[in-house]
Amino acid sequence: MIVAVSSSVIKHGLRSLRHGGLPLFFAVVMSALGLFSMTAFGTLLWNFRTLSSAVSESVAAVAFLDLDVDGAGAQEVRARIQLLPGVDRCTVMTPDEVLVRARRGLRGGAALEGAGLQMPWVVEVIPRVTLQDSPEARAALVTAIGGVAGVDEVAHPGGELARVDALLRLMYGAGGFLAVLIALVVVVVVSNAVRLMVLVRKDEIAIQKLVGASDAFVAAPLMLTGIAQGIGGALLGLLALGVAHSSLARVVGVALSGTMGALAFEPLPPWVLALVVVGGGVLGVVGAGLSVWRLLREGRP
Amino acid sequence: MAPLVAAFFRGGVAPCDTGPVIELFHVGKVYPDGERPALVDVNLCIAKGEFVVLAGPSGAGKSTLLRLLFCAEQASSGQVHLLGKNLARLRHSDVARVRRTIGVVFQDFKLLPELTVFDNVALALEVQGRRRDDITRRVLSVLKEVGLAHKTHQPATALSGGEQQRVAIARALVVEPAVLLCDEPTGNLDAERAQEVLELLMTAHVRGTTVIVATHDPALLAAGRRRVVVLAGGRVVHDAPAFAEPPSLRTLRDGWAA
Repeated sequence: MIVAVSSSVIKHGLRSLRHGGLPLFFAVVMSALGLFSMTAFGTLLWNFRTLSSAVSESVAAVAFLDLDVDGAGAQEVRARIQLLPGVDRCTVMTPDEVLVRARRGLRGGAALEGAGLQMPWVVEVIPRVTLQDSPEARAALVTAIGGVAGVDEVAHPGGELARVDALLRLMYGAGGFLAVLIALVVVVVVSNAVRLMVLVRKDEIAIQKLVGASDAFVAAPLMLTGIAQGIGGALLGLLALGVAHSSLARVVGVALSGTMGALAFEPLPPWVLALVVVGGGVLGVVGAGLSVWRLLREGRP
Repeated sequence: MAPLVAAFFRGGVAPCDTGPVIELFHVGKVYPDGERPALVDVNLCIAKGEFVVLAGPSGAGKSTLLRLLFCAEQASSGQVHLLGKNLARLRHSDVARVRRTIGVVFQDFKLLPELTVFDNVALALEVQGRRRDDITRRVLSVLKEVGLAHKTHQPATALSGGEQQRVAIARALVVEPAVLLCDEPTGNLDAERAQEVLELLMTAHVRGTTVIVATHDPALLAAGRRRVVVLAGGRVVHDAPAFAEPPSLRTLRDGWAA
């Protein structure tokens, strides 16, 4: 009996889709646009997250040594810093290397030319990755490095990391808001498309009920069209995302490779894409369910 | 005192000798936007296997009475019992189950134009979750009975009015209903096609189906001796059993004029 009913439901559902016309097309396109926007933002967020993680992992604390510390003294200070907990690795930079880095940071370093500055030896400290996530641990490490004999001053771009963290949180919030907004839009669009289908098929539904169709028999094909709209929209949106990504990935990848080394503009992982398709289906069910609920609530034909 | 007995003593209900299939007790129906009631204190008892003609002018309440019977409307007052069930007490989910036990035929056929003849008839079995081979067997059998076996795969809209009505009757009969309700089944047909439809209804009746036909077609009223219930202004003004004389012209005229 279940097989017989299922085949009837699929048959009537397919007929609904065939006769869906403009509302169905509109619903699929709108769903695709919405889910494309959502996944495009998701792709940006995903890559920004990867980027910020890479940045924070590579950000070093810089210990400027006293001016009277020479190369051998710098190596001793490096060895002492290396023993501190939370330190991953340390490298010593000569005053000339420091000057080159300073010029680069000042976009050519015209201000440094001929100033006769004496640069100190520097120890660059890369903290352990676990420290990146904790501002308190970072601050404690900076204090500990500053307490090592021979260290004049410690610089660590904790503020920049905090700003990146805040930006990432803001993007997560915006992404969540966008996801809820788009989900609502998809639900409303699918619901209205199914509502129009119900109006178009009003006589057919009345005849089905007249010959004894249960609510489930009437509702199932409509729910099926809702699922089809949601999944269709999601697949169309992902197709558009794929096209957009393949067009942009090379350009963005080249831009990133100049500054960020091996980083590339990655697509969303397959499990997220699968989740989008399933989510599209769920939104379709919710949208269709709203219209079907209204139809059945209206009572007997 | 049982409602049926009470109603009988008020003189409104003909006694049911072979067990009632349909019972109406003081049924009234008022539409929210109606100027006057569609049905007023209607008492009726229809026994198993009866062929009842509901006669009366337009607006007499014939269609409303049928709509109460197939649960498209609920009575404003009184009780409607169909196959022993009080329709007012049916749960929403039970309405579909009750409808599967009755067949309904309309003046405008109510076929799905984009479906074939076969699919239109099969719909009544599909909603019941019947197996495909069972559906095919029964649909082909009933289409043969109504003389449309050669038009099985034609779209319903490609048929003449008489043929479409025969498809509608086939759809009603394919579920082997206990009760067949027909609302002006010959209203859109010429005399010859109307006669064909009448013969199909008679065949169903002979097989034991209780048939109720709402009509103002004189041919249906005149054909044979059968129970005729005349409605006028929502009231039963004449109820003669099958063995009695058909209603007089005066009765019908008075009913029409009411």
